[in-house]
Amino acid sequence: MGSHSPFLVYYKNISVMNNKGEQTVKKGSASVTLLDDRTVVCRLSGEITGAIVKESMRQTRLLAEQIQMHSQPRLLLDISKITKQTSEARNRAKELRTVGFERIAICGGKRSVVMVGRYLVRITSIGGYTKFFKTEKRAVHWLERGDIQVDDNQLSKRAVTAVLVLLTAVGALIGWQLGVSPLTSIIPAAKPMNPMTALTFLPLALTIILMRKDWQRSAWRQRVALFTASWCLLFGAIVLLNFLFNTGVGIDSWLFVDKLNSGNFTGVTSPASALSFMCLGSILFCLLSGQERPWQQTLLFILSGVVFLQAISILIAFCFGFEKIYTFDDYPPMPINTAIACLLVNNIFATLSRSSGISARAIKGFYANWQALVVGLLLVLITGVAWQQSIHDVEENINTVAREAYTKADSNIQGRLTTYIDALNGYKGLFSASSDVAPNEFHNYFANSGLSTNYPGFTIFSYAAVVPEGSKKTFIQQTQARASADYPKFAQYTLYPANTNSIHYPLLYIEPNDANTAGYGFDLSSETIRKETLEKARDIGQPQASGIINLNVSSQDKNAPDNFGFFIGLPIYQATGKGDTVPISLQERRKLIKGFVIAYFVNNRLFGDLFANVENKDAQFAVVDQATGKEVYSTKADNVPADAPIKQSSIFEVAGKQWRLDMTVSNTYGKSDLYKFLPSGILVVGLAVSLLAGLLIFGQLRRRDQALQLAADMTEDLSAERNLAVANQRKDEAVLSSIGDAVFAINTKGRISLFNQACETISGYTAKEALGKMYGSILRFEYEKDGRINDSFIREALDGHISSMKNHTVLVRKDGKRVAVADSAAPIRDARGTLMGVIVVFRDVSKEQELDRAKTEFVSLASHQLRTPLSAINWYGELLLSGDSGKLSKAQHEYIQEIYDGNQRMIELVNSLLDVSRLDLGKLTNQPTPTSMQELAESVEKELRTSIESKKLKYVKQIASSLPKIIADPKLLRMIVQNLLSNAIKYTSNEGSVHVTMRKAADSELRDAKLDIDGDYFFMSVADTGYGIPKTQQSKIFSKLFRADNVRALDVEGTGLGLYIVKEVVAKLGGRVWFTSIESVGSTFYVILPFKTKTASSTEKAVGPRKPQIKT
Amino acid sequence: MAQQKHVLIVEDEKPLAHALELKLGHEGFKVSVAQNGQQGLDLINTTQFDIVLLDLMMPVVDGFQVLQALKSKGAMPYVIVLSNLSQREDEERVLALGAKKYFIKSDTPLSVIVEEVQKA
Repeated sequence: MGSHSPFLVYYKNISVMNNKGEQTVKKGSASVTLLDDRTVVCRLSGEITGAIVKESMRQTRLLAEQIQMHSQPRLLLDISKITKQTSEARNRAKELRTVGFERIAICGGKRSVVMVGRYLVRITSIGGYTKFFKTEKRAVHWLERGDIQVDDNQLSKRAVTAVLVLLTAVGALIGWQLGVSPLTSIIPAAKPMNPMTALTFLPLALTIILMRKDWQRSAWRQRVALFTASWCLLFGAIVLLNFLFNTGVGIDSWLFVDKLNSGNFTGVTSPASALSFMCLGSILFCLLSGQERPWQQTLLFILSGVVFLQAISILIAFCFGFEKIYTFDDYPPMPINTAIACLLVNNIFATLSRSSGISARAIKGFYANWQALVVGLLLVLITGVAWQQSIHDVEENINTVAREAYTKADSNIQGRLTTYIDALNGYKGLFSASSDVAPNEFHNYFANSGLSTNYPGFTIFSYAAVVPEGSKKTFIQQTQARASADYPKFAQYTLYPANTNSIHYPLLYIEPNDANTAGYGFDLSSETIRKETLEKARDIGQPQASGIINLNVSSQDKNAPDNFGFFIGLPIYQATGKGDTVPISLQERRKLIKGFVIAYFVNNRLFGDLFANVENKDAQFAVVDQATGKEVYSTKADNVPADAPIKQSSIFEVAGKQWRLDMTVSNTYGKSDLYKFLPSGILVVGLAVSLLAGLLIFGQLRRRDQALQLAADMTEDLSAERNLAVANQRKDEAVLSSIGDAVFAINTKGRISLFNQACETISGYTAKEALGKMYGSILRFEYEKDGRINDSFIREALDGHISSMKNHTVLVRKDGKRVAVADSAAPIRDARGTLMGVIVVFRDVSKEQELDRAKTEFVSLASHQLRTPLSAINWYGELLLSGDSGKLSKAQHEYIQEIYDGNQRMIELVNSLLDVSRLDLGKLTNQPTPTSMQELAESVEKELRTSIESKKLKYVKQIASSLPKIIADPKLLRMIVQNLLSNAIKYTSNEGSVHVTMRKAADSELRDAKLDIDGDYFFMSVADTGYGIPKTQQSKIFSKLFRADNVRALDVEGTGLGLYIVKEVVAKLGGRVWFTSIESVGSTFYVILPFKTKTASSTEKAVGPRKPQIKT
Repeated sequence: MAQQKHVLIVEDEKPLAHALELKLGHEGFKVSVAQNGQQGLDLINTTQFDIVLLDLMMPVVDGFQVLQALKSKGAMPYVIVLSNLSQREDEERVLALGAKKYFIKSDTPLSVIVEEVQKA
């Protein structure tokens, strides 16, 4: 496992001090985790800054790189919780450089319902490896399993739309045929959908149904669409022509009979509908052509806009109650149903045009924000309805209030007048009780009735007698005779004005009598209205009211308002003795009529009193004489304009006369302060809310849009990076494939991330099989001998060391065969030195091994076979020289000795050759054993003792006491010492000297030898007083088979291999060898060796030991 | 010498075997010679030898096999290996199989061998 934690969270809390010194904390966070072993999850939430993006993507990259060691990483980018992001964040996102992801899923979360449309747009604009998902579940599913079948939203939307349009059209047709008006218009009483319109919608609906995927490729579907488009254009054109030039083709009335308004079909298709059809037809043509050039896109947008605006204006107008739109004669608007159907079809066409490649910005922008528009529009429509309703409510309220006030006034009037009539009837009783009523009786009755005090507005009560012309004088006399102290006016009583009527109705009693004395004797028959009223009363036997009359006949000011009034007369008949006050027959009534009790009313006073308690500035009551239509009285109402419409009106009849009570009100009547402002308040608030909601959703969409843009920026860069990374990877793979050696790489977890072709060939596994697997399950490295797993070299590399495979390693192939391999492993580090994995290189060495083995066998065989005869010569020579087989002569001994010595040189030569051969083959390995150099030197000295003595050399050894043992192969050490010493002895003339020094190396010597001064080194020098090495040949002295000229000339035996062996062995042990030499003076050889020598080096060849198969 | 040491020479090269036989006989040892490993093993099975001088490269049964057989039998005589195989691995192997000494024939004078036999 590398240095990365699998779970990383990065929080960014930035304190921001504004210029007022207030501190706010901006919070945004990003978490980067691993979902599984190949999916990185990066979640951004809150307020995202550039730093967060940078850091989170850096972490993402780190994890991705780890995954890349074994497989292609995938990314889940969660942006659902982003509330805000800075422009820097977006810029950062663009700067991103990261590794290639196989797939990137962006999930927007479940929160927002308004994002669906957004996604559709986005998905079409970003393809390839990146996809947007509404829910994380889907995103993960896609990451794990690849593409999932997504329902075609558009398709289902289209189907629903088509069905709706179809239902609307069919409904309208049925409605027309069966006379069911609700089917032709969803709003009762609104203008119904025209049957021809309905017919036209049928092919449109069919076309929408047929517009499935690739609809443009199906010939018959195209033909249907073509027909629909043509029909729409044709029909629209006919209707428009009809409308503009009044050239009635009469197609509507010809086809249909209006069952609702039978025999009187006036409904022609509205020109607005016709225009919409022409637009829809044109759009369809555009879509059919398939080539959406810029001008076509613009045209589509305009046509679509016209249809949309027409339809939506109808809906708005309706909701706001502008009913007048239906009364336009000049340009009849389209019916509600048609408007809705048009909207539906238009919407589908617009989406179709988008999905077929229209990229006109306006349409895109419109549909990108359609949720905001729809919500805003719906709220506007709701506002309209609420506004209308509130107006209606207020009106209702006014009516209620008015009705109450009116009822009160009405009952006041009727009640009062009825009271008077009752009073009149009381007098009737008075007159029935006695044949002659005295003035004081009349007065007393009046005084007791309390009419004058209880009922203001009442004016005069009087009694008029019925006096035929013949008894006129008698009547005057009788009346004058009644004059008394209380009634002095009777003394001058006479009838006036004079007239020629046959029957006179002079006033006899007047109450209150004090104020109305002028009326005595006034002949009511002298005036038509009075006369007719009284005679009508006489005839019907009931109280009868008069028309409006001038009450004050004697008044100077004939038009004074108080003069006008009316009276109610009650006929009094002479008693018949039958117990009934009113005779049954008309003749009897006319015959028996005695007089009239009359009550007078002054309009102003009566009604002024009656309306006193309903008086209102905002409500005017008016009493109209129904007979003449003249207004008799109206209450004072300053706020009511003269032309205000009559709010309430009713006709009532009192004493045979019809009156009308009208009520008019002001604009403010019945409205409380709340009601005064309610409708306009609703309108204003509603429109404001609509606007706000629209803007809010728009803002939300913008924010989502920005978040998506951020994600898109990031991922678009990622995919570019991915392509780059893939290209690089391919290049690397190509390079690695062409390498003859097998190369594979593993990540820190041990998963194989690279597997080249040679690897495939040697192992028998394919890269596909191997990638992502643990290397141990694919490549099994074993010790050749015992089959134990040998992967320590990989583990060492994972620990960060370069290491090579131990010798004798075999790889078990897929087919089970074992292949000898040589191998090295090295750690891979990134730029910061973090271990990222290990790269392993190995090759099949079975052929090399064969070759090496053959060489080794040859050398072994050669040396063995050479040695056998040499041994024979050696031993028999020795036998002869030792005299075992009898004493030899001096000459014999001498000759045999020469043979013997020559043989010795031969043996030596063979041995040296063998050593050199082994050195060259790398067969001489260092098997370190603690070795005492002193003992070794003594052993060599012992071997060479004969030569030393024979040459009478002075042999001096200077060995430091307590010299540590060297950890090295004694045989190798021996080669050094033996060669150097034997050379010194060999090349030193008789009686010379050889000086051997052994000690620890001094720092200066180490420095000269360029060795580590702190290390512990052994120093040896062998000095002789020999022939020395000629200056010109000193550089070649360590070469193989080189012998200096001077010694060759001297015929000193030598192989030319000794110093080469020394040099090679010293190098192998990690030491240094050099010399100083002056010709004819002597040479000194120096050797420095580490006390602890190297065991094995990577340059060694991995050749297993093999017993030489030598056949004798 | 109180008792004459009995030396077995296992050597396929007749001249070498003869030289050893001559020398050791001259030095007063009782010497037997086997021509190959099989003969050597047969002799060892029947006769008690004080010292065995064993060659490695031999037909029929080689020196390694002789040592192996002796080792598995558990009765290991004093074996000095005389061979012209000079590789270290051979020496190590032989010593691991129970041989006491290892000499390369060409590098070793007869006197040294006599010394070793006397020492044993």
